[in-house]
Amino acid sequence: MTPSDAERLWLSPILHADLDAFYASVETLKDPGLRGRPVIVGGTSGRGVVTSASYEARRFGVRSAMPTAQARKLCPSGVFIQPSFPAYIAKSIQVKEIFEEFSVAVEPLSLDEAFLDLRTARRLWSDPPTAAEALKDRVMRATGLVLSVGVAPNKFLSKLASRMAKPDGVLVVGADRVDEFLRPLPVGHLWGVGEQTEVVMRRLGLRTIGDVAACPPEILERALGSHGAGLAQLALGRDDRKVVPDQVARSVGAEETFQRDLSEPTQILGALLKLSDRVASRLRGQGISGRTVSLKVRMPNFETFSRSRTLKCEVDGATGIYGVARELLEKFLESKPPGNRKIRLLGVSVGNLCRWPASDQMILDRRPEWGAAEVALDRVRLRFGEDALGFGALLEDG
Amino acid sequence: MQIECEKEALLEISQAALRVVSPRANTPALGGVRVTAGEDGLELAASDLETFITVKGDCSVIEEGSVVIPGRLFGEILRSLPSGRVVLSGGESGARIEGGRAEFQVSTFPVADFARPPSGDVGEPCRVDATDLARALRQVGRAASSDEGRPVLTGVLWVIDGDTLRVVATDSYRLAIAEVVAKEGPREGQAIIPNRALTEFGRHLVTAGSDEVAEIRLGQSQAVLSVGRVQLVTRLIEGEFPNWRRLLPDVQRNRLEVDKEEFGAAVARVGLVAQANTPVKFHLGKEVQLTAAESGVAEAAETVEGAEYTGEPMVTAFNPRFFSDGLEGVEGKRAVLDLTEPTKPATLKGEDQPNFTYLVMPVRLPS
Repeated sequence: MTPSDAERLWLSPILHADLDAFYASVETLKDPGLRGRPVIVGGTSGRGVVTSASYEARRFGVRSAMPTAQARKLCPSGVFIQPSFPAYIAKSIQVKEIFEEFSVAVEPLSLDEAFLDLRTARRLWSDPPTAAEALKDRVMRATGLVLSVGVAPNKFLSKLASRMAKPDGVLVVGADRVDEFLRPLPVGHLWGVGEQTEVVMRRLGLRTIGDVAACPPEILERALGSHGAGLAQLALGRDDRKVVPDQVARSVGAEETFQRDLSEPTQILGALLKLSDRVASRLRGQGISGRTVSLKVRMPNFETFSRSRTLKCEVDGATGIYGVARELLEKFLESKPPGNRKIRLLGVSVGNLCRWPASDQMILDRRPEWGAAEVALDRVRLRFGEDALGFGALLEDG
Repeated sequence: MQIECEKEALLEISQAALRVVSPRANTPALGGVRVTAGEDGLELAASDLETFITVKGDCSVIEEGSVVIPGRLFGEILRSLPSGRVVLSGGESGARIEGGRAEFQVSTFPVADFARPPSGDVGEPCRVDATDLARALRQVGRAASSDEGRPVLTGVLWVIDGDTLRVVATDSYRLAIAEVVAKEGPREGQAIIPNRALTEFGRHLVTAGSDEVAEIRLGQSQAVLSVGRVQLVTRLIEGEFPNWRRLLPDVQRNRLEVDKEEFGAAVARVGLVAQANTPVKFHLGKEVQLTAAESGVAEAAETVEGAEYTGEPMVTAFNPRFFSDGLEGVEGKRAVLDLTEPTKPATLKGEDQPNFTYLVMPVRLPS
């Protein structure tokens, strides 16, 4: 791929990620016997409505928001299930955490969909379509859920694209293909066009988004007020709303529960370096850094301790994070009797985040080469995967 | 005990003591100020476990003795009293403070529970000029670390070496060294003193008269610092201070000479667009230009008049705060920055000013 190709792909940096038939899929994961059957989640009482239907059920014409009674008529063989939100919320959190690995700018819309702005993660991904595929793959492997992703220049277009990508797809709308993509779609696809507006538009002879785009804005405005002006912009594929994270991620972290408790110092430090490296890589991938390094230690009896230190300068490098985490760990272990230094879980995280990379402030009396080496590491990993390269010390156990 | 004195005088010395009182004292007596009336007048004492301060003052002693009064309340009462005569009296059962037409009864702490200064042999004092020492501590204080994770760096290293007393501080990003003449006393000695105690000591050095002498006694585990009527006993920080001599570059081929005030102002101006800890770039060549950028937000550039550079052209970068801290330590009009290469430490000094050296590490620029 030439650099200009990549540049062009980066003109579509907004992802709309939407889980396919979310509630029904979670129910199927809970009870694998349901796989391949029409699963309908919704209120099962007399006036209940369908909240989610598997694709098998949709084949019978079952849709979200349809009265459950009607769905029963359409799909008598369906498995009807009362929604159990705790399970959905747990999965949703898991998925959101994956989203946050991909970008700091994640704006959730509901339990099963979110916008991601990948521009903060340019160093992590060669281009947005690659990231979208990786995201889909990662969500499937971690949760068993199917994700569809729309990739486009803005929120409006990416949401449309994900809708059209379903089920189980990725649809990329290139910045130079917006018109082609948008014009043939019915006006109902425009954000904010409900039945009422659709009636007005039909009266004006506007059936497709292309019709709206070609219609003089004054006419739309006269018919629909200020709403019309906004629709005219959308019809042209213009939408300058930003992806607004619901809350800024407080920290970036990684942790690992070991298959067997660790007691050997070299093993423990090796694991710590690996975790530091993972955190550093994520920070740099998103172009951010942080000033507080925290360590989490869980003992075999599940006692869990946290220690943290706040630095004067931001860090985003494995050696910087590891240096602090190691000091914290050594101090912690010293406080424990020698017989009680087994570790079940280790976690490293960096908080007090700043939205810029750590400046590579050099340190008196320390080897200065690491910063540049770590950036090179990120590039190799991007091309060849997470495990392609690591620190020499990490290779000992593997 | 009972004393009588002017409110302003008592307030002044009590404030010096109160600055040392631990804000998070976990035994009530530690949050107290001990007031002692003796043959040679008034003495206030306070401690935060690390540092023990005594401040002497004048008063008329009506009855000798000691009381330990809750520190914060004592300070607030004194501040609120009208100017004029204040009478303080009391003992273990309580204290009474009278001023103007107001009168306070305050419960006291047992004197026996009050903190004791760190004890131990401290030997002969090293005598230095108070104003000179104030200057040296001001020059190095900012380079000390506030990160408790590496306690050694939160201290200032004191080295007596012949007739030179050297103070050294580093937070690993910069290293500051200042020297004063050791007039009398031991010819060698070394200790790491908590910078917090030195900040307090510095205040008293600054207000000392121009011919006053400060006395430093360095012991095994504590140091005793005195100037005028103030004495601080502080515990030392244990551990090994970085080998600062080894960090000093031997030969630096490139030199930038600047007007201290003008260059400092230019760094501050250009640094306005740099987010916390992002660098200001120094473009060094025939012209000397400073630039900084916050990507996508703002950019700044300034060609500095009166800056002379001799050496290989190069671009290097510094955290503007770290650089300015060093520049502020420079006395006199001209400052000199010696450089080796963009990734090696630079040395900042005053022209013809051998008693201050400030080593600052650059920020690496992306290649």
